[in-house]
Amino acid sequence: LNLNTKISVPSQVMARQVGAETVILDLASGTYYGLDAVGARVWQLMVEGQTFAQACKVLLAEYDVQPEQLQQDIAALVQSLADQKLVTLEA
Amino acid sequence: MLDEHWGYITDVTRQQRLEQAILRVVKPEDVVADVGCGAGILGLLCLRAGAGFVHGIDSTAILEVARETFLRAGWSQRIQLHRAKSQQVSLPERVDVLICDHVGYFGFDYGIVEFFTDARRRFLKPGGQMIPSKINLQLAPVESPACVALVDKWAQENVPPEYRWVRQYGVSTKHAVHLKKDEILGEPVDLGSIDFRDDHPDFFSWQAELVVRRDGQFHGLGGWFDCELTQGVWMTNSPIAEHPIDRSQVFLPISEPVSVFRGEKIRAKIMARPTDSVIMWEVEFVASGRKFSHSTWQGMLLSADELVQQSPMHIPMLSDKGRARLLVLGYCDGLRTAKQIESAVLRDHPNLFPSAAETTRFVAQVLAGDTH
Repeated sequence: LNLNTKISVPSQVMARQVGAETVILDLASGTYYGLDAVGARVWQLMVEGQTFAQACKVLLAEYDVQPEQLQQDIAALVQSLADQKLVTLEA
Repeated sequence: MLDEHWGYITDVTRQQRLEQAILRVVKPEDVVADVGCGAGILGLLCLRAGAGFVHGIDSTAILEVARETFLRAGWSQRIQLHRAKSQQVSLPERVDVLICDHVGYFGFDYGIVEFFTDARRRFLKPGGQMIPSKINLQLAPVESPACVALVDKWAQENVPPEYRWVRQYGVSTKHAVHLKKDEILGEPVDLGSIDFRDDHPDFFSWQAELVVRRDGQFHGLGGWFDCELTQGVWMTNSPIAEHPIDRSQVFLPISEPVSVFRGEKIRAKIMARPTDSVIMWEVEFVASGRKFSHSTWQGMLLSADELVQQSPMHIPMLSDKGRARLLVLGYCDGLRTAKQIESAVLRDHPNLFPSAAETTRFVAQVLAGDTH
């Protein structure tokens, strides 16, 4: 995972947004994953094609948080989604 | 419910095909399990064919029609009816034949994969027979203004503008339709097959390439089944078959019509998780690269709370209704009558629901559903 990383969503994975929450369904495993409002925003930005760095920049403007902390949190989230095969990381 | 079963029983082609298969498979004195037996027609055909005993399993009240029918026909000594989901039933013996007609509109969309697999493992003797044995799934490109009207009905002029957004659910729905031959835009292709004699994963993924045979508007995918009841006996709901059974096909729409030309290729991918009743479909127009992706999950009406509850990390808490149910069941001590339980609940918990009438209804509902 680096600043230029983008994500792609495998075809068996889909998401639904209700209010500020996003729920992701992996049809292959039948498992559901919930994202809170910040996670949902990260999902939205990166599914649209923004790189990790671009997503961080947008979120920095939207949330009162230290850049290092934000980068660390988003990296952890994206890596966790990748570990669970909900997204594929692309350099 | 009666109308639905009247439809099955009066479908002459279906009846003939199933009877043909039963006559080939059922041997004298065979024990049969009819899974999801409904009014019991398949069990009746098995008994007429010489079966020694039939176990009929169904979770709905239609089983009472089966019970009375077998009694009146003089077969009541050779039938045992089980009112429950087949996965919750234990039979007193292994059977020679398993039979089931829950092939839905698209073969796998009415639960047969899950409960026929369970029935094979727990009910069937080694070497026993299954009717049906296999389903082949077929897919075709469809141009159908009637299907589009079904998808678009929430966007019609007579719908108040504030509600027209609801159309998005129509796009993410598996529609039951009766396709006409001239609505099929290209040759149907074999999407895949499911052999009920084998084990299967919970998740299916099939791909097909469709070729458009005439210029037109692509509105979505049409799907149906070709079902092998037993070797050499088939039953289909194909709209282009000469003798189909009287059953709908499925229409899987895309969000907007796309103009297509003769010879154009369309890639389709169908993914399904029958246990959760979820189907996902992707359509890609090879020439233009345009892609559409929809799923029935996105067409389900779910509140934010219900969506959150689907997460495995969600920690469930008893709801007010759950607490009320536990409370009512706590009075079921094997001594109190229903009337005494109702009186005790009303006396001890006068504010369980806003009115005494609702508490009475709730108690009756709990007792009917969770006690015997």
